[in-house]
Amino acid sequence: MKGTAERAPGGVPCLLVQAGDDLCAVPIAAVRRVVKALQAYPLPGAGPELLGLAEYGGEPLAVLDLARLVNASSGPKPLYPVTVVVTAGPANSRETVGLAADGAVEIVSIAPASVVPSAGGIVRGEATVGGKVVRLIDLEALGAST
Amino acid sequence: MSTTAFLLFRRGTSLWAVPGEQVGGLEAQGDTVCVRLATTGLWADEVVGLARGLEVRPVGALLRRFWRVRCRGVAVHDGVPLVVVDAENPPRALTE
Repeated sequence: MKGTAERAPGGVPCLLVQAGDDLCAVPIAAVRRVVKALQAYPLPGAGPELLGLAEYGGEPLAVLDLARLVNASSGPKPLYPVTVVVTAGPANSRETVGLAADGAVEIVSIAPASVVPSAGGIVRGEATVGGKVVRLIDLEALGAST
Repeated sequence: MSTTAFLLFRRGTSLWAVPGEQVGGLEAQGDTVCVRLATTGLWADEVVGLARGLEVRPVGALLRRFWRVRCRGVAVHDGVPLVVVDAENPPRALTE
């Protein structure tokens, strides 16, 4: 992971995370830690986005498939070598959750004005960073009921 | 921390727990074990043991969004996450 941030005046610092074919930008304020993939124990009857429950710091932690959350192509047998532990959900009821991903790439700064809004869901919109399209993740929306 | 004793058992790749006072008995049936409750039985591949002092956490909205099975909560035992069964509404994955 590169340690330098791409600067954007008034930008939101984000961790770029590779999820399948997509690059996702996770606001750094929500990132608690990036760890080697946590072992997720599948739960019967779970939606495809939920890989299972893991143990993190002695607590149960739901681990979600970031590529599935953003509808990115992840190939037939994704390995997801890292888990990005984040806080998600509405401001009044934040929860800790793991996002299984292919890697943490670098820290960048994304100017809100550069984000092209998307239709909804957990992708707030798209922006171009270093010539690549990245999808800005809305972790508050992740906790919203469907 | 709960002082309740929980029976721990494995079904498939998941670890489950049920309060010991709700267990009426265990019955081996071939390669599986039936955990007898008051109104139903739960199928287990393996009974792991008893545990006290589980820190049972309620299922948060975020987990509930992707997993709608009723349960009493989730916990960790010996580094492994588990689900505490609601004996009144056990998941179908354990009863079928």
